[in-house]
Amino acid sequence: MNITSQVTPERIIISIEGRIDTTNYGEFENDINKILDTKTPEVVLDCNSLNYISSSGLRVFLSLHKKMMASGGRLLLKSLQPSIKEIFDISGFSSIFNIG
Amino acid sequence: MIREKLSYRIISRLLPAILLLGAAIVTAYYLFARSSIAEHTAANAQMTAKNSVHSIEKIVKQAELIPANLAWMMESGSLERDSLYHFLKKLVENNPLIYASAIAFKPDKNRRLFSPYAYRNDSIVESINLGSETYNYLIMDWYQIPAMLKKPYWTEPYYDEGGANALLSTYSHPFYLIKNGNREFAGIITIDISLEWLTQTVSSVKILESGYALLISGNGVYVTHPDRNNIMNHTIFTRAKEMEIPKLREIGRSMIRGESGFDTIELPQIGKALLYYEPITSTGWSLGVIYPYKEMYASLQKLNLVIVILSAIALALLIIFISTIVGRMLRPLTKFAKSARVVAEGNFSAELPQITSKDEMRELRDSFEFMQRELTVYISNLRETTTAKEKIESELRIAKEIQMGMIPHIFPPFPQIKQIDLYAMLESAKEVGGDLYDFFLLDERNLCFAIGDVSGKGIPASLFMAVTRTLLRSLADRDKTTATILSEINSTLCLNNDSNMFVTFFIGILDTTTGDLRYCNAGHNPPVLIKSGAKAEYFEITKGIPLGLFDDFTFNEQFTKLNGGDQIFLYTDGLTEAENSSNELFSENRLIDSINISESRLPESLVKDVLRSVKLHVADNEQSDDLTMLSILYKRSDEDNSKGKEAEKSITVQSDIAQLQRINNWTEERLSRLGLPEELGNTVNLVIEEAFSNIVFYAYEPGDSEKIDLSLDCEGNMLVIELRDRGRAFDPTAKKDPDTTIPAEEREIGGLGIFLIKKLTDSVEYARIDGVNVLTIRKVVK
Amino acid sequence: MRIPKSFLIALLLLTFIQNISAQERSKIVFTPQWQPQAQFAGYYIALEQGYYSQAGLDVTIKHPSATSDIIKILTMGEADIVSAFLIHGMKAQRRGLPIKHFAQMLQHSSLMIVSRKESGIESVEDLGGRKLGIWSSGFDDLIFAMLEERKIDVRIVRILNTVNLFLEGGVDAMTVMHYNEYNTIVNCGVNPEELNTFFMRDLGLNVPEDALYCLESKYKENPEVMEAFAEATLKGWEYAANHKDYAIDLVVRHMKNANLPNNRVHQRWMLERVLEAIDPGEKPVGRGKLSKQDLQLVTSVIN
Repeated sequence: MNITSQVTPERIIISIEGRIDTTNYGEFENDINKILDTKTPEVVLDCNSLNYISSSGLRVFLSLHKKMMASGGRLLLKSLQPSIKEIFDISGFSSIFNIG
Repeated sequence: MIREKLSYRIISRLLPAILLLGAAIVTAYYLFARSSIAEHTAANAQMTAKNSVHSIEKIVKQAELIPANLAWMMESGSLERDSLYHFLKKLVENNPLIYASAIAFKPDKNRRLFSPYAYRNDSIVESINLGSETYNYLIMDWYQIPAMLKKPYWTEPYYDEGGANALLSTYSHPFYLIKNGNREFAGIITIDISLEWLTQTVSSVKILESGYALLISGNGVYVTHPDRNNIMNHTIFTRAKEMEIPKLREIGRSMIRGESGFDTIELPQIGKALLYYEPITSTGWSLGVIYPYKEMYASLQKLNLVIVILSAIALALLIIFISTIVGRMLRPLTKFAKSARVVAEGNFSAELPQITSKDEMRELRDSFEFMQRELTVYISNLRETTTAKEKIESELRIAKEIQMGMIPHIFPPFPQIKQIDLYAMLESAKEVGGDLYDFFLLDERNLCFAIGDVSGKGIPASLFMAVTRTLLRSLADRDKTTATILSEINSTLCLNNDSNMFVTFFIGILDTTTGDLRYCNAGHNPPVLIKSGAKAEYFEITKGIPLGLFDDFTFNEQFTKLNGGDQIFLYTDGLTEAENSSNELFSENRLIDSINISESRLPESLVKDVLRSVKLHVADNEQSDDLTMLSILYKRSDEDNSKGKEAEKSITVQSDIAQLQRINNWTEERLSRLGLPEELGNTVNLVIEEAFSNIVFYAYEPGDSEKIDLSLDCEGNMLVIELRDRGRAFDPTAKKDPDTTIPAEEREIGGLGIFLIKKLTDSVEYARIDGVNVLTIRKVVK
Repeated sequence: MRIPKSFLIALLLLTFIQNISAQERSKIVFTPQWQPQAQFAGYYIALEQGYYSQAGLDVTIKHPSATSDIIKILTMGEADIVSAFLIHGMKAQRRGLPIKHFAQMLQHSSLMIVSRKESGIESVEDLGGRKLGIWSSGFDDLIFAMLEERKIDVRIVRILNTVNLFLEGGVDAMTVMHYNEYNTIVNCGVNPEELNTFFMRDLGLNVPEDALYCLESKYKENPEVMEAFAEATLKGWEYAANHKDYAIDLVVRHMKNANLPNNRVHQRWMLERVLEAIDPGEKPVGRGKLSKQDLQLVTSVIN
């Protein structure tokens, strides 16, 4: 798992690469939290290179989504791979997240 | 060679002083001799002049007696006037000295001028009366001057006009007659004296080469002189003016005053000369003798030349003498120089020159001897020290042997295990080193291997290494994860590690039957993985931190799978950091390159090839760090393949989330072996992960390391996933599905895993059989 | 003692010459008034350099003896031209001798009285009662004129021709010629600063000296010859002034020929002094001529 970010005052774009699973979700969450600023109005998660995600990863996404909602911001998921999109669909997350 | 001999230098310093001294002596001698000669010459001159004057005076006095006697005779009346002619004739005839004689009477009433006169005419003596109208003798010097002065008078010399140019002088003597009882001046008696004898006397005075005697008259007229032109023509005063020598005039004045004395005078032709003059008192004339200086001192000049030549010879001899003596005195120095060279070559008993004198040479010899003795003592001390050092070194060698004995070095180590070919080597930079490697079997199929590098070098490092190795041997266990082993070693090392030493460490446990490799790294260099038929590349591993630093550090085990022909190459940084003389490191790139260019894939050859490359790189530079390599080739034989397949249906993992990667790898391989599509991988992975993590989190307490068996197989078109664990009874299927329709902010975090499993598979069954939780998941596959 | 050989010769010549009655026109015998010395350098040069022969004269220089009377030599015809003191010449004329003064060579008087400083004679007046040596050959006219004029009574001592009596201290003072005896005294070792000198020329008696005379008859006969002789002689003097060494050489040669003691130092002195005397200087007259003033002076002296 590797993440890169692009920070502007209006939005933060975070690109996620590789796998997010039980072994590294904690690390992922930490990394995201480090990048995030509660005042940022929009956060975009670019999932183009996200190959795999397990429930642990989904939980991180969810808590991130909650955090953004609480601060009046917006979380946007982008370029999900079909297998990942399937997981989002199955888990019902597709209806929660803004997926573009 | 010696560019400037000491003796030459001494001579060159001495020479000016000697020359100065010599010059002073010669000058002093010269001045003394000169003054002595001057004195001698002066005495000689005086004597010569006095002698001449004396002989002249003798004759003059003799001559003077004649007129004096005549005068007495006249006065006494013993001569008659008439007989005077005859008398005078006889007088002249009988006195060869007398040229003529006259008795000139003072005129009286009877006779005006009367002067009987006898003179030589050739050989005959004739007589006449001089007095006549035309010859008024009364006003002539020879008469007038003595008559007026009433005393005898020598006239100035004159040439006789009648005779053969004879040089004459007239001596006039007044005579008196008694008239009327009174003694009255009556006339003058004269004799004319030829001065030939005088000029001969004076001319015969020979003085050196060009010196001479001269005679001047009362008026300063030259009567005799080597230059005939001067005689009777010049006075000493006209010569003085002509030659422009004012001093000569002064001398002349002294001479005609009747004085005697010395003087020096510069004359043309003659040069500087000594002049002595002495008066001929009776005539008022003066005799001078002239000594030319250059002739006076001619002998001295000659002597001087001889002295200078002798001095030059003496000087040359002196130089030879000094250089010989100094050379002889300094000869020992050359020998000392030779001895010093011999000593420098190590022969302290080099022979020294014998010095019998008690001078500085002796001192030098004593110092030299002292130096030799001290050197001998020093060298013997040095030998003892060296022996002691050698003893320590030998002990260190033994220590090294012991250290080396601690690590396995018999190859091949496990001939019974055909899947493994292994080679290792450790080359210490010092006698004992801080590197270590180790490998041993945990059971019949699991090989534990490790490599480490202790901070620092030498004995402390080697001891730390020994401790680490011992801990490894005692703590390694088949059932522990590599991370656990490292944590335990770490904790033990951290205890009482006052010296703050640490060790980078890499541990791996290879299942020789499956090729599964579990490993954990503690700050060690990443090993090289050489996949069969591929280029070598570095392991992607977690770096971790070295052992012995923080006892609570959590190490993570990693997993990979070796296929047949794969090789893992471990090394210490002594390899990559080996420096050549230009301070270039061997570097990780060179390591990879040297592995890749190695033709052989056999560990022993590979290790030796790499070692050669390193040595080539380092060249002459000293080895600064231990070189340690360990290479393991995994070569699964064909007969083991079936057993391996069988074994692959299931895998036993520790109840540790870190095992997930190993599980993923296994799953992917398993699916491909079962011929299932790759797209299925992610789904199956997700299912197994969710199930496994549920068991790890819920069936066990955190930190428990229990085994979980996982199997994956196909039953018809059904993929069966089975997980068995011995943890608490836990039924994940019992968990209520989360409501996926509610908004995100209301959703619980958790419970999603089992929900996903259910959604992605076709059945999930839980059973508790004999204390074992068995979760069977089935999914229809095409 | 000097045997007067020249005197004997003169006696012989006297009868000999009288026999020669006729003389060739241009043949001139010249007799200076004294023995050879630089006083006559001009004549020697005129002869030697051919000035006389250029003037058509065949000149023979014949010196007299020390005791000869030069006027007598002229009147007796022994010489055609003589050199004589102007005073002597005029006195002879006064005596009625038929001689002609036709040139005045020395314009100034060289006659002087010299005395040793130690004698205490500081002026001519101091000569009173002292012994004054005067040559017997006639240098006395001017001295007597001076003494008479100043009324100085001196004791005259006649001397033949040497300075020895003076040197010996036999006289207190002596009359000398500046160009000759004065220098002889100096050359006998007496330094000039030891002498007091009294020049006649400083005592108002700067009477010209050497003059040329011939018989009046001869002059009348052939005045050009005499004038030519005078002119050639002056030319000789001019040459001497410019060639002193040569002049002295010539003089010394003449002296040697006459067996006379000679030395260049003395002759140089004499030549220089004589040349000074020839130059008229401030006198208002040409070379070789006698000024009227001087004629008057001499006339007054001999009167």
